Amino acid sequence: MSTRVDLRLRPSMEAPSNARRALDDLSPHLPAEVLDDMRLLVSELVTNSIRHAELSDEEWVGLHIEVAGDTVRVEVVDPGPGFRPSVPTPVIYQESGWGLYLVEQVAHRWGVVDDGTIRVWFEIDGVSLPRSR
Amino acid sequence: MNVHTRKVGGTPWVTLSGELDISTAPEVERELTRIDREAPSRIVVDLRELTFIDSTGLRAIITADTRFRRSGARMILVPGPPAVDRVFRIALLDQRLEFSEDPESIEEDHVDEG
Repeated sequence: MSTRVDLRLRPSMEAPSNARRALDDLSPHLPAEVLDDMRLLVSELVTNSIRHAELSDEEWVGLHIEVAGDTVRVEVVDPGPGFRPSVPTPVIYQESGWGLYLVEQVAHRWGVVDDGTIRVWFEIDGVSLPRSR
Repeated sequence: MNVHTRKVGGTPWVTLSGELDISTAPEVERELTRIDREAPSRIVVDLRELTFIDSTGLRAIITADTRFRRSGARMILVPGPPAVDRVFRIALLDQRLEFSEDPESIEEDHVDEG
């Protein structure tokens, strides 16, 4: 089974909540706890994009989600100019930039692709729904 | 997001309902800053009606806690539902912030002490 969500978000303060709302479409396909984790991480990445990417009103943040087999992959894309994540440190040790610490803790894998646009992605495993009772 | 403040035994009791993120954190920061100016000895922030929080929301809570501590006040958080509470635990903030399921009992102790 493969399920996709592809979305363009206007770079407003409401973009993170709009992105979280888009995940509701996946609720028939994913366990509730996985969706909760995805809402958190999507919120972190979209917030980073609208904070750091200096987007104009005409630009957008892309959200791409694909559920394939037992893994969900999420990618948040912005046109830059340069959100360059560093190694995340725990929240209590720094005042800002610790959204990625949460990504590091919750996702099974994550990374950044800089191919002209900035694509921050994460994957969560074990997303197959338990058999219906 | 709804921010509602009442007084319980003289203590400001702030109930946060809905989703705390970049679009709603300023409202929470404003209210907690306003309460800090009233110089309470303690304040309760009730997270039970919160449905979502991310690191921007956490930062609003930490910033307020730091400010209250500096003012000599004690900020007590009532834990949110599991999905909200989990974010505090992942961020290791359960070690840094004061939580109580039943802050009214703390308040009664406080009142008893006069």
